[in-house]
Amino acid sequence: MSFTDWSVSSRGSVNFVGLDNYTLILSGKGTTSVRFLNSVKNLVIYVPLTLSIGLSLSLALALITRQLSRKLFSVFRGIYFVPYVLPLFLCAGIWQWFMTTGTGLVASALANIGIGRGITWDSTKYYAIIYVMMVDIWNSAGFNFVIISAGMADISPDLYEAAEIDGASTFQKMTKITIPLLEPILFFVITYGFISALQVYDIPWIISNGSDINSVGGPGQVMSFPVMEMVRNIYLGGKSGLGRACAEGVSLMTVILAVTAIQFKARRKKV
Amino acid sequence: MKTKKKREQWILIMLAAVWGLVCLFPLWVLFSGTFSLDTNNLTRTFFPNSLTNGIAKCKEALVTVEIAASTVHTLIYTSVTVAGILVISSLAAYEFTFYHFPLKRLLFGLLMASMMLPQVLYIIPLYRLVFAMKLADTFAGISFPMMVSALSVFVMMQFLEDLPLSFIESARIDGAGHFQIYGRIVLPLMRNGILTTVVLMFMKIWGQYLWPALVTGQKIKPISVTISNMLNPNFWIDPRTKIAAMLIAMIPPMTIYLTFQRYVIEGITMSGVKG
Amino acid sequence: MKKGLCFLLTAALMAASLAGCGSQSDSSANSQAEAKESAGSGGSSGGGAQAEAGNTTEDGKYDLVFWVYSDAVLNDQGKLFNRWVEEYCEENPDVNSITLIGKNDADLLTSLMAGVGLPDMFFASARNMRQYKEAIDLLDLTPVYQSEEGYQDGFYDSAIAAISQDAGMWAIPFMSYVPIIFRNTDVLEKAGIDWENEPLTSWDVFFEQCEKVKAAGIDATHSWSQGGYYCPGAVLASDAPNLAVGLENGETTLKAEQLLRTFETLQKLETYSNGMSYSDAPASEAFKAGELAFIAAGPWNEPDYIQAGTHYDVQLIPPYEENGWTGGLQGWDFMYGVNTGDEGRNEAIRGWLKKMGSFEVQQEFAKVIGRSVLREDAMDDPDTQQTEMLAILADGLKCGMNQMNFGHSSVFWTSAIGDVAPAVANGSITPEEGAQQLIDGINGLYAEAGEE
Repeated sequence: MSFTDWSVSSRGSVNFVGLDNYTLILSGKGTTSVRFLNSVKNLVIYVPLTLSIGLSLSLALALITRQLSRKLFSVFRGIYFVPYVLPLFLCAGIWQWFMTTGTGLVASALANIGIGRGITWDSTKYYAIIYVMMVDIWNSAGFNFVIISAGMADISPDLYEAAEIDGASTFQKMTKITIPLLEPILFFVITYGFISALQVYDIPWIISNGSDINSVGGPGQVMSFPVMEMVRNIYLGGKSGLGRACAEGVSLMTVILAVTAIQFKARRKKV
Repeated sequence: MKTKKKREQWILIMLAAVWGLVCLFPLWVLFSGTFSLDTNNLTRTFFPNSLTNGIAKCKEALVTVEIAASTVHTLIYTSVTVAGILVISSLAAYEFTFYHFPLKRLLFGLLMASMMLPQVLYIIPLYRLVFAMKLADTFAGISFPMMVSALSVFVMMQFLEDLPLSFIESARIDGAGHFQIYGRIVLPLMRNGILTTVVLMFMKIWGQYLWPALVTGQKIKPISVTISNMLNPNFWIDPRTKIAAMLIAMIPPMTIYLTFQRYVIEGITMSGVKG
Repeated sequence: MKKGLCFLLTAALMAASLAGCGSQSDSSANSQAEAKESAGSGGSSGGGAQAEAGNTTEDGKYDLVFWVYSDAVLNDQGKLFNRWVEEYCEENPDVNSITLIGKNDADLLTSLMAGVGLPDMFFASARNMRQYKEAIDLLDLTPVYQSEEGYQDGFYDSAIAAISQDAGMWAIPFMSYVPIIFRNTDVLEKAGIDWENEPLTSWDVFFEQCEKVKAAGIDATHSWSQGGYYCPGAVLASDAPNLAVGLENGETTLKAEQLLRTFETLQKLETYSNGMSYSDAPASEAFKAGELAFIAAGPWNEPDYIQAGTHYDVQLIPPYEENGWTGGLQGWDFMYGVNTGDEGRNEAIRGWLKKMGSFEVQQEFAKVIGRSVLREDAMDDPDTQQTEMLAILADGLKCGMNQMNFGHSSVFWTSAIGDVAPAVANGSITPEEGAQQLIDGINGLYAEAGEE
């Protein structure tokens, strides 16, 4: 499909156009390409930040709650999972209230400590990415937390007892036993988190008013991500819309595949 | 020593509670928003002040917005899909973990790749196929394509990896067939993996929008479609009714999670002792 | 053998997920295999009933399917449409039923792309008419317009021009809107504005009132440059008589100097802004709570303010000179028919659409729902203009500007202003630079769509 001029409006007649779609989207010339490359730039900032902050948060929470009694642990686990169960548009909706300039709870709190004073979060470069990141981390921390803490439960208590006899502190137990033994689970969480972060779509779509296809990604694509650009191409129904969207999709997938393959290789070496 | 330990515990509880508050606060805001008077500024209502208004809004959501009917429909196709996922994924996970077969690595790579392809790109050919099979707007038509879930295979494989290969080998020496091994040994030991998958997949399928929106029409009403229709910006539905509808829509997945959570914990502790 | 089965399962599993990647016929084959597999192993629900909407005929009668905006099946609109359906089924012995299904524009486009499972009629944005016409076999409605003397004359001429092309007429113009300004009259009173005698007759008057509200310590208005094209486009439309809108050799005929006044107005508006965008829930909540004096919105927002008990009045987007050209981008919605290949069925579709385009239906829609329609005779009828809102909309629709060249182009060119406006408003670029960027942006959209 990525090699054709297929579009919403091409009834029946689809032509093979070779690499045209690829050269077009990567050329940096024309609206489609500029938008796509902007969205890729955003992605490059977004993915590593979201992954590292999000995962450290979930891991920290898991380490903390695991020290508590089982009852407390399950109470907290129930609570942490709430954002993940909330429908995404609901999450995005509430955060829009919180992040409104001037009156929004979170935005004004941040302004008070000198972050983003007087700016409009959803239309300012970089701030828009951080905005999406906050919502996403808030939403997905519970998911990662559940998986990580389930993995922790598999670690035999004997190990901890032995460590305690040896006089290890809580902190030592965490770093010397928990984290190394969690490696397979962490690997899964990282891989999965990476893949889903690359496909970030719903949250920025809603925040940047995606119900209107023409405002996707906000002014100057400050909140645009590749999957959003694909959808835009498809729905705008312009020439080769579907073909271009597929070319964008395939380019994105190639990158993901490459990085994932490296991750797997690295893991095999380590093990 | 003891007091130090106690203090440590308290600090940990405080830390955990902070994030708990962050998680719950928005939910509380929605709740108090629903149960407040229409004259309040909705975005800054932090305490409920009208029970009657809230109940009226919930009623309106259930009846007028058809949340009740949508919930039933969604429950049906979600359960069917999750059941399908369990069968397919557990078999696939079993296969990938314990057997060597030609092109295994390539196939596994493809499986991973399938997770990475945005749904928007393949949804149209898929719809044509389902339509051609005359499954459009049926529960089967919604469910089958969603039963393919690379994520659940992956989750189950993580749980299977801890399973000693020697179990399988000894069973094989005893002359057990593949499906016997799978049914008698692997499945019971995979209980945690299965429960985790059920919880995760239920949430995921419950919230699916793109595919159910495309494949349904007049007979089946997925809850995500009902709600997003309600959110359409160019017409007006009372904002408190919208929130009420979304809160109600949240109850089933939340219930599933909270019920299964107990089993998941039990299962995990059991295997923890064993393994 | 069992091992083989497992192998097949996993292979099918992946092949299906990858369906979209390969060529089309390829993917179908693969996913077919998958679907069969899962049917075998999942063994879940039976299903398989014929689901194609409305293609079954009972006793030689037609069951029609009509896709509509989701609000058309709810509340007052739902009742209204249901009554029309009942009337039509009685009037027309060939039609057994008409089923209304709520779909939004995006759902509609996806279904159209798939090209299967189409309805008999659909009610959708005029902005996508060109895509619809290219993607599906639309029913030519020329016989509807010719069937009755004067039927066609009732519509706005521009609407008829939009639906007429390639020697056919492809839709029934139905609904329209123009952005309006709601004024919170409580706030105006606090600011010492005699609102009943001070309508927004020009941008200068608007700015004067903003100044007074600001002096009273209340937020005057939201940002007019955030939230997409809606507000900046509304301002742009106030200048419509001075804009050379058009397309030549793939480029817009607009000149940068024609756009300067718009961007200067946007900059000035920003000084009275509280930073929210017009569509944010916090903005309308602030308006309802008396914390905001002016909000640009659509007629669909009115019930919200009524329910909250807000005191308000409605104004058009002001002109630059008193009694001059008022602003606001007009949005239109059409009703389309699909060519089903069955002449009897097509007749039934045309009959229904003719009813939808009739004076009576459009007038009743306007009166009951409070939304403007695309029949000029219905809008100008004194009987219709009984509510303040409709009287104002009828005026507003005579000015303003269309969002785009409906029907003939697929490029929503005015949307490009949403990309430029925030930068001009916050001063990071000058109005001159903004004007040039807007022109470049518009040209980019035309190039992307391949229109010349």
